[in-house]
Amino acid sequence: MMRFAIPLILGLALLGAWEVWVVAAEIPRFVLPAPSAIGRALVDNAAALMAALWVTVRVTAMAFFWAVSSGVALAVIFTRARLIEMALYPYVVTLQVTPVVAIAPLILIWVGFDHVDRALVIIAWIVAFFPMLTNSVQGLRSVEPALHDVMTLSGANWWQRLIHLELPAALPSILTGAKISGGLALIGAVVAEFVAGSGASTGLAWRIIEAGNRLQIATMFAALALLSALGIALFYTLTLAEFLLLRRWHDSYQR
Amino acid sequence: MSPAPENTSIALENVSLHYDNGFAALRDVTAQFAPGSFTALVGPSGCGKSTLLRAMAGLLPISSGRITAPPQSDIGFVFQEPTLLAWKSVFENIALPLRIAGLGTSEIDRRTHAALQLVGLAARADALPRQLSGGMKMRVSLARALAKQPPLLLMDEPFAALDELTRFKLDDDLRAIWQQQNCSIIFVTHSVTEAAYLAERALVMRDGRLTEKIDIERSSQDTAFRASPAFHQACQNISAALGHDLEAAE
Repeated sequence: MMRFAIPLILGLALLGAWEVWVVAAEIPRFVLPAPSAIGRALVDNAAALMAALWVTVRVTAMAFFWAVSSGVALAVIFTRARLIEMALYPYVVTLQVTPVVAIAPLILIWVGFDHVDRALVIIAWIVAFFPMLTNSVQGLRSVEPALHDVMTLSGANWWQRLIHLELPAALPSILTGAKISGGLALIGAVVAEFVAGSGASTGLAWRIIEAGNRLQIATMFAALALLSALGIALFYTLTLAEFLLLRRWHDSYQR
Repeated sequence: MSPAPENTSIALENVSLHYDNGFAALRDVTAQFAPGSFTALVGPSGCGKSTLLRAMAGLLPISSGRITAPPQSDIGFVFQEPTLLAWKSVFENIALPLRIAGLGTSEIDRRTHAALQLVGLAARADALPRQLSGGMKMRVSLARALAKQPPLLLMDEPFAALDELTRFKLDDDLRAIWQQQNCSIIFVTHSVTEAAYLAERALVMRDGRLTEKIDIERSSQDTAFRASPAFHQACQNISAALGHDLEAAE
């Protein structure tokens, strides 16, 4: 209970102090709006902001889905075929270290402005993919050798070994990767919307740009609050998934 | 590896194994193991006992020589650690090799329950490994090997990490299971007393070689054997072969 109450009380206290300070210091609304003004902007623009939220949720979810599935699949291939890993790994690293903002315009051009949503998903996927891959590879490689011997003596083929041993054993690492990847998918979606920021994409990041251009700072903050809420919801959803999948057997949940 | 001849469970002929760094883990090992026999492989740490056992199971490739053994599907192996899948129940851990072998559901159920009965864990079928004690986990590991109904059971210091009382109990249970199942057991241990109590024959290993074969005369089939002069004599013989002198030590 205290775990939730303490940060909640702190948050309310900070919001109260912010409200009082903005009013007392007579700070202009276009510099820093009071929390109450942000709340009003949220209500007044609810329809537009919720539509934008839905766009960002969709791009984030798609990018996350592809990051998880491609990350785990490539990790399985890497741990099975050393030659493929040797051939591909430098390019995967190159993709990771190249600033996505620098290649995003190219992706938009290649995919075409008729399919901006697709381009946004690809950009967000590039950001989210790498931690998924590295964590999955590490998890798959960390399986206790004696358990592999058990599977060998059982006559397991590669698929049975993967399903019964490697994937469950790697699950804690895969879920850690998914938690990082989930947050990065959202960051990637926002970056992609900023880069595509022509009005062709209508997610929360675009709403922030649009509101900023019109000096509607309270609306900007409202969109920002929704983005934060989305990130928090994503993180706790993945934390809950981790808890449900590991609590029965994994050491990290044993007291 | 090639199939073992009719009257032999497993046979080793001039088996040597060198690691990549040139270290000779096994040197010219020759031995035969009869069906239904119980052999202890005794030696100090690092003498090559576990390596030999893993080579017999086909888990390590040998450098030269010949091993005639049953196929891996007919070999039960119990490791030093329980090596259980933490996310599967006791029942599922035992049933897994049978599922992989493609047995029918009813046969899997029957064999798994029978193995659980044998090791005295029928009531814990639904438990997860983390809910079991160290001794219970080793019993599950033994049950998993027994559920395959293997003609050959290889055991690599399975009770070494357990306390002495639990080890005595498991030694007794293992002998009872062996008498009931009539499989060949090769049991690696560094404990002289455990080898003398469990086996019909002890093979002594030093520096990758089999140095001595000691037959153990068992005066009693129950735990009373531990207090008998024959047991003491067996311990003396094995210790002497290992280069220790129990009496001098006393």
